Amino acid sequence: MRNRNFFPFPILWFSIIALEISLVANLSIAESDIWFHLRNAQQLLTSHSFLHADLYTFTSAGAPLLNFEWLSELPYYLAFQSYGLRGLLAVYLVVLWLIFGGMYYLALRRGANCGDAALVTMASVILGSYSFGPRMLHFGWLCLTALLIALERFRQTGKGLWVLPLLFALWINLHGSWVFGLVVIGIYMISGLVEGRWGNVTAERWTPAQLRKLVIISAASVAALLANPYGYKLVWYPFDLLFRQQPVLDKIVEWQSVDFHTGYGKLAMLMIFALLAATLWSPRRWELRDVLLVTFAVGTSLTHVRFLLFAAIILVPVLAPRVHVFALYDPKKDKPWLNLAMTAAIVGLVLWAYPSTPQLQDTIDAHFPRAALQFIQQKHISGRLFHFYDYGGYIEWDAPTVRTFADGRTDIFVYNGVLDDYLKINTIEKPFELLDKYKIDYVLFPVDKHLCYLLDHSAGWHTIYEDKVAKLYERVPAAAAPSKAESE
Amino acid sequence: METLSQLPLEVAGPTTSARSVEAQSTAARLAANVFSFPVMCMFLLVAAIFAFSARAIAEPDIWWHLRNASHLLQYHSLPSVDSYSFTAAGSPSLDFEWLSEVPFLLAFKAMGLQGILAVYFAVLVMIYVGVYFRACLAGADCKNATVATMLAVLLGVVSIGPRMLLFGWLCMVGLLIVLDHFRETGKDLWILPPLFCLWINLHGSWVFGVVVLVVMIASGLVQGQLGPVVARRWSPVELKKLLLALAASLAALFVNPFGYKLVLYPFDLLFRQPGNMKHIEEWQSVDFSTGNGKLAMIVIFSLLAAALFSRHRWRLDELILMGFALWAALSHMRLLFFAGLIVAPILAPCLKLFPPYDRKLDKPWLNAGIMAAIVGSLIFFFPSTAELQHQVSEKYPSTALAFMQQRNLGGRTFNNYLWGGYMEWNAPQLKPFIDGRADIFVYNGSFDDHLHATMIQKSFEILDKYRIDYALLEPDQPLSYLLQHSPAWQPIYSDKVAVLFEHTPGTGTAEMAPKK
Repeated sequence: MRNRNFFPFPILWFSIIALEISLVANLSIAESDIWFHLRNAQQLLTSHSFLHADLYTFTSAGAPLLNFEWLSELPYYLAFQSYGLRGLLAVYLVVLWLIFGGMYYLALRRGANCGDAALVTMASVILGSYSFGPRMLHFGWLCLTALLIALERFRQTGKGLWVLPLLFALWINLHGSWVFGLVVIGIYMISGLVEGRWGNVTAERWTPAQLRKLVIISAASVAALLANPYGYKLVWYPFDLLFRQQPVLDKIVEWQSVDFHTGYGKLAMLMIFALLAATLWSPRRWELRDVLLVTFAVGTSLTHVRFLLFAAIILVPVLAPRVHVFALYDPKKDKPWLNLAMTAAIVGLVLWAYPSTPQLQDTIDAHFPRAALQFIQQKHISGRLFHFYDYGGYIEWDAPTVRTFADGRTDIFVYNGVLDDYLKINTIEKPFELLDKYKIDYVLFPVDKHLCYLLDHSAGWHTIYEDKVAKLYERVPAAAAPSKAESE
Repeated sequence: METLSQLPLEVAGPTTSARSVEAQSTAARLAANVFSFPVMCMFLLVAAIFAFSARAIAEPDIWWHLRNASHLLQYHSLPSVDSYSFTAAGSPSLDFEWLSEVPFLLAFKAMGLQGILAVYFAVLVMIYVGVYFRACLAGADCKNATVATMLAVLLGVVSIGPRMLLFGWLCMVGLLIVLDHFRETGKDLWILPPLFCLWINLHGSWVFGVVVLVVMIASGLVQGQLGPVVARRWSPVELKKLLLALAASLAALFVNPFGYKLVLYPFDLLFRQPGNMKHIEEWQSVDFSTGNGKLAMIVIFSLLAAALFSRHRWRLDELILMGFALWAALSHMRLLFFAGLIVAPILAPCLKLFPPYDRKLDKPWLNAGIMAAIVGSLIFFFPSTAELQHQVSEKYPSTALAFMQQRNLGGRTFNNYLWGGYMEWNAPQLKPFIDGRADIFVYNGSFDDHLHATMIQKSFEILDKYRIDYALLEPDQPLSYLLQHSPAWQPIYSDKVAVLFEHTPGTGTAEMAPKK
């Protein structure tokens, strides 16, 4: 009778991947949007009702809104309530472990050697680390991982597709990236409508029974999208982003194109060359669906840097079986006790390297104006505040009595033109006129921004607080802004 | 099927002498070759090149190049120190594109702006005809070669205009054709040293030529096949010829008016001019949300598709060059042009978009008609001097400069970076702060100062440091807004293109509070 291996070598490899994720993720806690998400979750749990209008800003107060990531916000809030910043870090670490663990598993399931699968997964961790941080988006990519596993299982066994409607019902309440899930299903379906071989690419046709199942399940998944607190409006939301929120796509950094001069750009370049090498030298045939998926993932990730993580997820199971760096894993030579000991050591290392609350707080304080907000609260400053865009959510969470100008929710500020005005002020396009338009009393901005230089040289504003992170300006009472004086 | 070459024989009839028949037959064959479908495809490419060229005259650097060439022809010596700006006056400078500047100046003297357009249009036509020729030579059908070359033209749009760089890329196409020819026949490498000698005096892109030559030599040091990639080892004779040609070409680089300094210049750009590379737009990474970026994306996917779907064998040197061109072009927008030159002839033989060209089905008279229509259109639509001047006036402060000259405003002028060369050519008595030569301004720090001033970082302090009297800026740029709100500066002229500020005499700026 054969002894079952209680701790196989592939698990040790995964622990190494998990260690890498921990080390990379520890550096990325200062995410600007997490704060308004915490406030949203707090609002939900205290009022037991979903947000339908803005309560945080003075520029969009009462404007109708959709809290389209409400379900992702809850675990972060609960973790923060229990463990503070360490809780936040723990939630997103676990989600990332699950995502990359899932892709590693999928790569193994597709026949990759465990060492090679781990190597490709670790490379994809680095590529995807652009979007690391306590972000709701990760829950969406976790659903994508589950979808890819379910579809792979269905392709291999013809079973398990019933999970998808439930998955999509969950997904739409977690994040808007469910649209990518539908694209993936669409690609799977379409690439099974043809059969043949073209060069190194092959396609296998679905059987009528498989196709029927896929069509029915896809329809059920689409229907399941309506199981959310906002109904059809939440289903429409991703298309609203595409068609009605152009300034977000044009101006927000993570929606910009990859810059090949940056570290992430160089990784994206490596991704292109790795793909080219795989197409040229791997003897393994390419399935049509993989070709289409890779094309979609590479296209979106090069156009919008925020989708590098999406590309990283898609590429792991496609590239890993084509990489042959390590000797093939032989279960007979496996040493479970050694694997267990090394994994335990790695887990110990993860725990040892886990940052303390003061360390995390220092990272936050280097990015956000905590001391300036304390000053505002101590002095009972209550006028209208114009602030750096990334500060909005932090102010809403840390100083909820202060009404903000805008925050990372973006959409409501696009609809009413506030984001456009913010960008104009920030790029010195009629800033005095716009500060007048919103009757701004105070400006809170990072010290090195050119708006600070302008205000430093304006008789209409003076500095009332300054530290390494931010400067707080107050409008000089008797004097209108210079532009106003001029226009008068 | 009747072919054109048969037609004259039938028309000639039995009374025509045999000699006459032979002459007519030769003429018909010549006509069939000249008015063949592949040549007509080339004319379509020329039409496309013209469409892009006609709107690209307003290039910011052409003006100081004209001034350089004018200096050369007037004084019979190359400018060795800056005499155009006040920030770098007297600084040693290399006029590293001096030979490219001469044809532009001569054409400008003869035909004005139309002459400039004619020069760069002609150079572009030679470049892309070379690319098309190489694509056909690589085994591509003429229609697929046309599509691939059209992709190269579109990729190159970013550099279309009166630019010295085009002469460099013309040399690149010449080099690639010579190397193709050598691979086929083992002959004619003697052209390379004169080519590199010419190239270094035309443009700094000769470095890319050396890279191409080295890749070509290195990839023939191995033999074998790895997947679809094949390498053929050079014979000892071929290798000797190649190494000699490389050595002679490197030696030929020193035949220039500046000696070793001109040879080192491209490395100076790489290592001593980070400000230039970091902030000049065309040195930036490709942006995939723009038209150029989408074309670059098409190139990436075309290459992947060629590797996946085509049974084409890739030569090792092609593959390495393609990788190099792709890396260079994605990292620096300006090198998309280079990528087009390299990738199009490699991609063309993999394309199977149309049924193959059949010479028997060719209709020379139809081709001739289309070619005549294209030539007629080029003549008819060739922009007048007034139209070209209008393009220039939309981008440059021609009336603001006229205002400055009328008023004899001769103080130190802080100018928009892109207008420096135009000022130097059109109002040579006005010394600008900076122009597109970039290098001399990077060395002495005025490039960084200009950048900080325009980005509203210590603007007043920098204007004070250089004792600026006037600022000639675009109306909507942040620095204009800052000066508009400062009592130390008064707008004394403005139009749609430019606003001219004057520093109020006797006032500092950094200490000033804005006017109320």
